[in-house]
Amino acid sequence: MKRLGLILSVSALLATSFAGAQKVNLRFSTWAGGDGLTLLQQLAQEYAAQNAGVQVSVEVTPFADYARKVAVQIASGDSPDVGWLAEQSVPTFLASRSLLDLSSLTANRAFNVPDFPVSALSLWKQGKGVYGVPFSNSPQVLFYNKDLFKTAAVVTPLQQYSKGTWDYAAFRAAAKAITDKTDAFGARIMRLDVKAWNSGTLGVLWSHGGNAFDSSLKCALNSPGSVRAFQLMHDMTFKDQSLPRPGDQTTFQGGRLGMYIDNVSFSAQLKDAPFKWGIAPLPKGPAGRVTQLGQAGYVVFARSAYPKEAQAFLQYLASPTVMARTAKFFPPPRKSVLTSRAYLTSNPAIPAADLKTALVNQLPSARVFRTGDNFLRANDVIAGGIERLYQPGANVSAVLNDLCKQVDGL
Amino acid sequence: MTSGARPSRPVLGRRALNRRGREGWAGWLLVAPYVLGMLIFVIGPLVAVLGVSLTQWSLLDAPRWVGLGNYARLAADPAFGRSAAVTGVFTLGILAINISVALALASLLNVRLRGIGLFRTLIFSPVVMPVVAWALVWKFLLQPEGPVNSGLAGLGFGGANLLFDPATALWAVILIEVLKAVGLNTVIFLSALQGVPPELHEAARLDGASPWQAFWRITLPLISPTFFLVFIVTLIGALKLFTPVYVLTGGGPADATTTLILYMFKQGFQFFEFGYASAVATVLFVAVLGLTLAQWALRQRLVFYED
Repeated sequence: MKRLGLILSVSALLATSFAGAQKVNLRFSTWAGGDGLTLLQQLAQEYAAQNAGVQVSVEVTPFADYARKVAVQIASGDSPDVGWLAEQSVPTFLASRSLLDLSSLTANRAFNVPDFPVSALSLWKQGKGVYGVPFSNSPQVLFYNKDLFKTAAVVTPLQQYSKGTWDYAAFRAAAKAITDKTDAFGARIMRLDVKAWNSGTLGVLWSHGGNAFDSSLKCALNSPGSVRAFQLMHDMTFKDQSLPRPGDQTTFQGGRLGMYIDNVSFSAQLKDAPFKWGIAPLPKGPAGRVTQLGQAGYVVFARSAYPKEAQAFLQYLASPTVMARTAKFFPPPRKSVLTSRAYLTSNPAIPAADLKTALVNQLPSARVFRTGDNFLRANDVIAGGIERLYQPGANVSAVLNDLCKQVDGL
Repeated sequence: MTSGARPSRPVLGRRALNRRGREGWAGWLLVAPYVLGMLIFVIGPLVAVLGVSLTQWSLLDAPRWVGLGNYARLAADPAFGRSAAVTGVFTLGILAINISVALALASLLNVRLRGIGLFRTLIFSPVVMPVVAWALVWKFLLQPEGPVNSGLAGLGFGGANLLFDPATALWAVILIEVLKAVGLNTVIFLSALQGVPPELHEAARLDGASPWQAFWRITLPLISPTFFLVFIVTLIGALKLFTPVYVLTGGGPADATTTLILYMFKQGFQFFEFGYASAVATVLFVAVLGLTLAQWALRQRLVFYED
């Protein structure tokens, strides 16, 4: 009797410790914040509830430090299992073989790869491998302050777009009118941090036939189209004074900018804005209306201790049902979600028709910024060049020629 | 007597040795926390940096041995040369302005006046302010449309953008750093000035020395040990200064404020080239060490009246 009890208790102890060893704790790394983070935490909990033996903990690192911190974690043998990765970090992480090939997952019928546009996956492919699945496929849109347009008596970008007159000349004229008739700046093209110069600037370059790098990844910032685009922005900054000078911290959400180029997720910061705003497509240039497609994706890190479980979790996150839920914050790459009524009405601040015009309809001409694996270094040089460019008396084409010489010399 | 003392000597000696041995062990035990801490957290990383500087290492992959390759690359890197030049101007600028202003302020504060304590407090107060807060306030003041640039525009310098113009950014950063740090040097100089015996000045005045002569011939030599200390501390501080520059400009515009320490940070934490960054760190370390040793040698000739 006593012996039986002992055996029972020992086997119970063994069983529980065995179950404990079976428990897999996946670490999910992200830079999400606010409601987006809450949703991810909720998804992690739901996944754990559906899959006994798997726990998912969500770890947050702010975007500015994200790639660096994850790299340090991987180097010190403390790698997260699954995580987000932004487009500009993809070449570096691919070159150092830090990502797991997911092609067995994407080849799975249930995953339904054809649901993703070919352009959406190209960044994440290398050879035959697929090293990530985008969850956000976000063309930049033009935010505009309706109140300022009204005060300056200028026809709004969306109205001009529907009339077919929304080009860069109209953009410049609108910005000048707002600067002259209100105490605000007409527009901001770049973000506050010059290191993020590509956001906003690239759309203007592409629409003028310019580029940052050509197809062989040589510097194209001094190509005729790029020079035309930079001359326009330089003139708007110093002749019209309708764009803020470098270092200026004026933000759109503060109400002192007429127009601003950013991803649609920026609308989360306009929740309490004390003015009316809308979104519109970017203006049209001599080479068409091209906007920048920003991407971020889910990846499994190669040093993950649980690659199988991590892939299963990624499959869950990238499934149509879950992507329909994250779409509220991130424009979904899956066509089935993007064109659904549920997605178009998911943001109460933006009417479905406007979202369709400014975002969904611009996707076919939107481009991803392709960079080489030494982009971090090139970006630093380019940021320095752009700071020299935005000086009152700068000779635009001379500065750009010199800049390209430096970039190609790296 | 002697024969009785002789056998006892080795015993005594052994005992003394044992005691000395025991004391030695106890001594080592007592300093162990410090020595271990020093070895693990100071000497260890220092040697590790030297080792890493001989490799190519992105953190993501395994370090690859490249010997002196990083140093050869440094020597040929024009950006490193530009950064060294920026560091030279930055360090000399801070040394010249900080020390001369601190000395002038200390002389002004070294008088007996009602309310002089208030002035001393005012000048010292930036020293106790958190450096990031100080830099952020100045960054705000120096916005393109901010109070400083608007004020300059009002004075006829239209279009001034001090912190974002490559021609003026470095000097703006130097002045902001001097304003922050000058209080400490002022207080050190003030205490040295108060140690100068007044009768020497009185005698000089009676002999017909001008105040300027008295300062150069009496005050300065008498405070030369302090002057030397302030010089070294300010020099090393300027060479190592990171936070305010990083917060104010991040090294920009167009690398105009990229001192060697920022250059090192960029190589490591922005470009993930930890081997190359460690080579920069080593060069900087050797430079600071060399300058300090040179000054130590000069001290023999330049410093008077030292105990």
